Amino acid sequence: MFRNIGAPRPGLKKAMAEDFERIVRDYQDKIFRLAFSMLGDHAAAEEAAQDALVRIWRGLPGFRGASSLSTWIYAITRNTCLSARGRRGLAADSLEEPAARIAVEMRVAKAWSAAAAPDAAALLDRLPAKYRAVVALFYMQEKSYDEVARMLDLPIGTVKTYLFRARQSLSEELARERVKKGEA
Amino acid sequence: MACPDFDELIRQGPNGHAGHCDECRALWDAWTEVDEAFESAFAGVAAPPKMAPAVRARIARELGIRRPSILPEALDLIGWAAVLALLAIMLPHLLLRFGAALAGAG
Repeated sequence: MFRNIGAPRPGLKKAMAEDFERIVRDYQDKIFRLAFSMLGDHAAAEEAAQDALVRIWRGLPGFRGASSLSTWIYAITRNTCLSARGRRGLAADSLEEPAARIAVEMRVAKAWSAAAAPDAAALLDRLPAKYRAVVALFYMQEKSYDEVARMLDLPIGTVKTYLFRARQSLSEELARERVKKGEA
Repeated sequence: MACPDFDELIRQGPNGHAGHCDECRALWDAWTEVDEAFESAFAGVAAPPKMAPAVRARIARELGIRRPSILPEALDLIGWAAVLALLAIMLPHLLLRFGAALAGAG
């Protein structure tokens, strides 16, 4: 796979186009999910994912395989998203940045009702910023800790800890509210 | 009965301690609900179908900007080559005529 990358030879342009098509086919969903988890907005995620793919295409002739292809692709996507966050006036720092409020497009006016099923956007909104991308991506990536860790460039232990703490805190809060509601 | 730690409770599932402790049962139910809410919101999220064609169009535009047609340059080259060839053919005749005209005048 990707035998053409880093092998200058006649027909490189065609080979590069084929490699790029393969990247689009294999990674477009993952790039979009990563962007969506970091930006929390469908339109912004699509724009950032497009930008990332164009950057990948531009960088493809220079890619020599120093890191794995997926590592390189995810790094470009993360940097593109951080720039997009900067442009949108959101904290452009990193996932470690504490409790910045990220706009969540999916947020509906629905408050967290103790009776109704909890809304994912409202749940995400209750989490510190550093947990949000991890949680959203975990469910988008079919609950693969390994994939989430690689996509966000976090140690797998950190991903597991963030996920557990996030779900624990939300469950405890929800259960408390349910009990309170039941007592009232 | 002492309630187990949260992670132990989750590990045991609904048939463990949560099966006979109302508070822990509520916690287990909330965990499941949170899990289901996220799963239904995020599972299956994929890139919009129009994204890949849009990327290809952007790249095609960029390639168009980067590499302008060589036709104008080629025509320019042909034109200049023709002018030089014409000069090369005509110059000896012109010089001969000029020389003859000078000799006639002298």
